[in-house]
Amino acid sequence: MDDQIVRVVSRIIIPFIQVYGVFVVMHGHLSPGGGFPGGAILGASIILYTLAYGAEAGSQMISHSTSKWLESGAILLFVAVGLVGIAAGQSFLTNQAAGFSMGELGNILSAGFIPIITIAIGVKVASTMITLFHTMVDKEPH
Amino acid sequence: MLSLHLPVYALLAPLIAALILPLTTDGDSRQLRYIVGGAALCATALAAVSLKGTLGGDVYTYYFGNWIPGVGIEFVINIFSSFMSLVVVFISTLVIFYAFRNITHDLAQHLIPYYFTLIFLMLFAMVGMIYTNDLFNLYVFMEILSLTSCAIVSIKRKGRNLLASLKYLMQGTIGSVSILMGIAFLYMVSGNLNMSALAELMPDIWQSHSINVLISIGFILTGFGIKAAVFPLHTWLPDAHSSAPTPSSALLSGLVVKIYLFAAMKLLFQVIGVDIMREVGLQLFLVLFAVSGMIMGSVFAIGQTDIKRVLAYSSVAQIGYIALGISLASPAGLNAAFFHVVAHALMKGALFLSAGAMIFTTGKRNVNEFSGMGYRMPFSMTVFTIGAFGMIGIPGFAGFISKWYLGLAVLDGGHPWILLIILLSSLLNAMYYLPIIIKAFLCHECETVPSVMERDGLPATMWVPMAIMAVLIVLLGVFPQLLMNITGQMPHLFL
Amino acid sequence: MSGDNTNNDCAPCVPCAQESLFSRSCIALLTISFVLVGAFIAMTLIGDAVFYLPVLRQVFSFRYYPLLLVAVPLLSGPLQAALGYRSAWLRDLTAVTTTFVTFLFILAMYPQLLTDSIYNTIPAVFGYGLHFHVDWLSYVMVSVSGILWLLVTIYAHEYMAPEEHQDRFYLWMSVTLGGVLGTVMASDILTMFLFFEIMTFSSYMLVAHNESAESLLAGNNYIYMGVAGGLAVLVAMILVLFSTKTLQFTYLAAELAETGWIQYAVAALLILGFGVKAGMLPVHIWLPKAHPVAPTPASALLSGVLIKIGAYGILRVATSFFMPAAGPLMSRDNPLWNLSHVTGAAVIWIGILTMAVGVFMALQQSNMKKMLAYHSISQMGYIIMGAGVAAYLGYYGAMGFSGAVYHTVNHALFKSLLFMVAGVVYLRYHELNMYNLGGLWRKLPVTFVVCIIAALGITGMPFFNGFASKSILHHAIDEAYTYGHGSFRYAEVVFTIVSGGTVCSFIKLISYTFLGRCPEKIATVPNTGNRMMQMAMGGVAVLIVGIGVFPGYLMNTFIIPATRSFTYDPAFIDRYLVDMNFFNSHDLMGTVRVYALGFAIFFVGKKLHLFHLHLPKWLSVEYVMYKPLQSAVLRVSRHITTNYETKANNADVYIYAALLMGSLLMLTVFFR
Repeated sequence: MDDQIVRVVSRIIIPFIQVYGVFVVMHGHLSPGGGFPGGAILGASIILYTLAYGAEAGSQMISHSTSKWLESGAILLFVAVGLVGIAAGQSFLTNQAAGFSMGELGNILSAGFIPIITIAIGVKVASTMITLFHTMVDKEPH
Repeated sequence: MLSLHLPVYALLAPLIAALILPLTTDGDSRQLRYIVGGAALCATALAAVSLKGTLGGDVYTYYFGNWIPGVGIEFVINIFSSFMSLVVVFISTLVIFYAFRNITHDLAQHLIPYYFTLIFLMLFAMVGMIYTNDLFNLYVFMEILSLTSCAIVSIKRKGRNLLASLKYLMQGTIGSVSILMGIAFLYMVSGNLNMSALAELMPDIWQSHSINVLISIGFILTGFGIKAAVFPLHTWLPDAHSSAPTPSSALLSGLVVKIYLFAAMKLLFQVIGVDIMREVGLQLFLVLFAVSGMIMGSVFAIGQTDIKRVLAYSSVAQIGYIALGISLASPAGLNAAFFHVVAHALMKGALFLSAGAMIFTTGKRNVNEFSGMGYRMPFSMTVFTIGAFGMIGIPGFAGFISKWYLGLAVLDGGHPWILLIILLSSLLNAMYYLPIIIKAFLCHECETVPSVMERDGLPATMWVPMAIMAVLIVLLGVFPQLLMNITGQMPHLFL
Repeated sequence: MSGDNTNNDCAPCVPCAQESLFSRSCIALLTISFVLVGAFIAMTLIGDAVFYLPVLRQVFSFRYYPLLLVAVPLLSGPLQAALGYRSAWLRDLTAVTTTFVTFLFILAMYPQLLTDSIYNTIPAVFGYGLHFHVDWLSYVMVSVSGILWLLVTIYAHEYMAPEEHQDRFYLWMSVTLGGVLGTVMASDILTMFLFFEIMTFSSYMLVAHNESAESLLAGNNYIYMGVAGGLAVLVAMILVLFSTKTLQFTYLAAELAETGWIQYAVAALLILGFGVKAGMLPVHIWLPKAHPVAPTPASALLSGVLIKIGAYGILRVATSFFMPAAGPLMSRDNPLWNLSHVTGAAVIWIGILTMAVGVFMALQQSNMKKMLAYHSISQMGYIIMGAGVAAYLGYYGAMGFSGAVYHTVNHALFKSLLFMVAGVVYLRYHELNMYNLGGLWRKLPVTFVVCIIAALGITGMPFFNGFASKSILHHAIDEAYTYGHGSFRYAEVVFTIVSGGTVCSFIKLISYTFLGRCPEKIATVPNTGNRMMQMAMGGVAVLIVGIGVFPGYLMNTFIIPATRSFTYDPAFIDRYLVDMNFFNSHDLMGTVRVYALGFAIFFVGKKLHLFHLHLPKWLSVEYVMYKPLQSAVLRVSRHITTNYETKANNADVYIYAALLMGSLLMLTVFFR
């Protein structure tokens, strides 16, 4: 879209959307939300940018290879966190018994590895949404 | 070396490989092949070693996240799950090696890493479905399996593929939702998703809320009927399996449909229990559907001209055999069914791979154009013949043993008339396999047939898996005890 | 000798020096074989002690001959195919040597049979193991297969020389020999089934060898019926295993008698399944199609040995599954003979029907090989009838059993010889229609003589082998109505008429082919010698005459011990079978009557041109039963596929909905 108003407004709004997305992701273990909705919000922010500024600008901000690495890296982090449990002598994806600090109930740094996983899921969902959008919008295959 | 985590490693190895693969760029590179091949072999090795631990009949439970039993997701590691996941991973490895060269014929270069990604995700889902002891976890893995198996059909991006995959997706979703409904009806009255816990609660549930169990059985049977392509819910299978690229067809026909049968068995035999099933009296109807699948699958196959469609309908008939063994609900029946799962995976794999090799080299798919193929591609045609003889039930090949034991199981269950149906279905199988073989090897007045047998000219990654499958078919046909010793220990886990 | 060969007879591009090496080797091997057979006969007559001479003891006490007998031909087949790639005559020499070695092993097995039958096992195969057991019945079959295969292989060298794909032919011929030997030496029905299927598939390759459209059609017919027959045997096998918990050929009449209707199903399936191979009515239709299109060595083996395996199967199950164990209380009226009784009666009538239809159809043929094929059906009718009498009379069935086995041996010899004669005629003149031939007695003198010998054998002339076996079979059918039901009197009448018809048919064959005037195009073909073929034919002719002149030898040495190994009344055997006088006035007069009848039919037929009468096509079993069946299956499949496939595919959701509603309804409403 070439509309000037959309561009200026989105340039102002997008950081706020992203902060909100990060908030939802990081508070996933404390309040409603978590990786999936938070990631969707983050992804929507980038999509908004792409809609406002065009596909090339969008793919410059988050290029295809960046989103590929983010996707794979996020789930690999998930798997790695699970393997920590095995390394500690327990089962896959063990939380407290594997030595993750439980912290205090109500704090952000609590509940063991759940924040880490939530962040991973958030990143993954965001990058998936971006990739899907680009795939549908792009004319050449990549 | 025998650690309880090995099955989990066998589960994770394909997942990790699937995550790394999209990061490689070139579809034809060595890097890709090393990663893919390495991951597949690694998974096979892990599955094989985990089998060793269960051969004595031990049963282990793996509690994810160290949750107490009944609360978290569990994996049950017994001889059934470890052996069947070994079969799945082994045959997938053979097909993956075959696909290295073969897939370049069907797919664009840049799609090949994604293809292997999908196959590894499929492998992840299949292994997960075999091991899992949690109903919702089963559903999640099932959905992953559905989506990835649709994707490996549609990745070829031709019109036929997209249509077939769309139909598969829609039917598959109906099936999944149906199964979910069935699970929901059980959860509704038990509050528990763990299969072992549910099995213990089942007698009480049956007393108090029998209607839930009955409705659940109805939904589960029809849902798995669609997904496992039991007649008459098989209609998505011929299009999907025949238009897909050859490695996909081999995996779909050989493995994926069987996994759904295993899940159905777990739900019906382990959760709901044989006693309730017998009380409800569904056995005769299940037998009838299985038997009609055996006949109608072959009847439809006789009328086909595309070789992959013939093989797809033949799968419908063979799934009828396995469903027959399962519906007999006796140790002999289940033993025969398990044997046939492995035998059919090998035979159908050999058939699809050799048909794919012939299509790869000569581009011919129509059965009427196969004249003289035995002289142009003798090795592929020999593998095809071995697979076909196994399907017909010639002694010395694995399929004969399945029919033998199925026949004994049928008599054991008191239905001697089914023996005649098995005979009829073998004859029908002969009627569509033998003409292909005869035309390929004995065609005098065919033009452009070389007078001496030529060499196939297939790359090593294509003919070695075919050879391994053919050798295994004959080995299992001559020494069935190798497999029977293992499958014989499985029925008591279900009954 | 080799100097006589012109280019017609050498294989293309083969130097004649190698031909002469081959010829000399064949002559040497054949002479050695006959010398050994002579020595063998002498030793059997002198006494058993001869076999224990120290120099031969090692050879005679080797315990694994059955395994060797199966392994050697099966392994030699691929070897021959590989050798044939380089050198044709080396391959042929290997083939002859293999069959010779196999025959040596067969001869060497004999002494062990005098003390106890031979048992061999390959464990763990199929979960049950492969079991071989050579008793007297198996030994008869094995020896006739062995000697015939040797002679036909020598014959095949010159016949197959102008053909294509010779390597393939020799490969499958060798594998078929392995299959045949495995089938007759099997001691349980699963082992027999394995080798039976091997035999069916490898002989298919022999039938469809020419790859012409006709051959492929005949081959299709052969293989589908063969597979169907095999499946019938498989179902019977599963039923037997389930009911009696054993697969061995042991006396199972007691166990089967308790199973109710299953015993009759088993009997019907086994008779039908083996009957397909035996050319029994109504599953005989593959025979007249397969023989004319197969190369002559294959036809000779098909008619000579393979169809006998079907009859052997029937005999084997009749003497094991349907036969009760011998015991102090065994008698003719023991109720355990019931299954045997009923089955036997049915089989006798099937045999009579087969005999009659076979000879009737044979009389109408003008193609020599087709006529011989129908005669095979007719003679198999004799054998099947004999087996039927053996089963029907139960404890007194020794005569029928002996007749069936003796006629198996004899038919193998004279029928293969007749096919070899037809092959010589075809090779030389490319003509199989006997009405287009004539006057060949001058051009093919050796062939003419052996043809007369074979014809006298098949028609039952005294001093030729057929006389003995036909007499025994005649006695058998007499006993059937003496000790059994009176209706078999009519069976005997049919028997006599069929024998007369056989005589007539061979008078027709010889007079039209060999006698009379030589047509133009035949006369111009030069006379060249096919020495190896003539030698092979001569070998068979010698055997025919030998057995004919001393009919008691075969009886006393092989057949009577065979009857003694089963549950047949020993008193009966001693009274009627031991030292039977074949040349008694009753049988000789019967022969005269049969020949008179034959000549009469011939003259009447010739006068009234009856031989050119052809039954309308729609009257054959094929048209009434098989073609409709086959086309029905194909048509129904195509119809269902074209009409319903797309409809079903499009209605998928409706099918699901219907099934879901149906199952929910049934589960909830009807169950509660």
